[in-house]
Amino acid sequence: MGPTRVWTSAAAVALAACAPTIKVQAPDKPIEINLNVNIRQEVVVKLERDVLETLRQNPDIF
Amino acid sequence: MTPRHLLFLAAAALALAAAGPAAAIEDPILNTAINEGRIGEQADGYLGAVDGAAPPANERARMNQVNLQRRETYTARAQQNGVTVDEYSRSFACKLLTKNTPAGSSWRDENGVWRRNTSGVTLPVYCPPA
Repeated sequence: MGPTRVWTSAAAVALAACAPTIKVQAPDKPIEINLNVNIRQEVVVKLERDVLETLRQNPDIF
Repeated sequence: MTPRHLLFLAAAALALAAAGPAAAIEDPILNTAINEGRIGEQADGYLGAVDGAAPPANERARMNQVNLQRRETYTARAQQNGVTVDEYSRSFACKLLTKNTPAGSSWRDENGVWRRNTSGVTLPVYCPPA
């Protein structure tokens, strides 16, 4: 290994040392994915009118 | 009628039109419990006891009673609309969560987490924008 080679690898090490540190931090709360919720927005939109009417008719429970 | 009266009437009409469904349930027991953060709306369309809160027996009883009545209504309307009871009750919750969660009270999101309304209610993803 010639002196040039040595200097190059030394430079690489030095550069690597300067690279910014990226910290990967786990969120403090568990990530919750609830796969039981399987409902499409189109269903909700389709029911909207019925929902509002039912709501209006039962103000004591909604 | 003076112009001032007319203006007042117009303002009143405008306020009524903008009101939409009344805020809160017409039930003093539940209303108090919701406002004081012991009971809240859930994304499944039913009421629940807020995490860490201990609603007294009379509030729990009223809540259970209303939940039973809701289930009856959801079941009937779901059948009428050809959807599952769960689809119907969750669609209902899209309206109830904003309607019955005043500032400072709590709601339970679609992941089962109780959240406090400090800067508005975040609706489940399947709810159309209010």
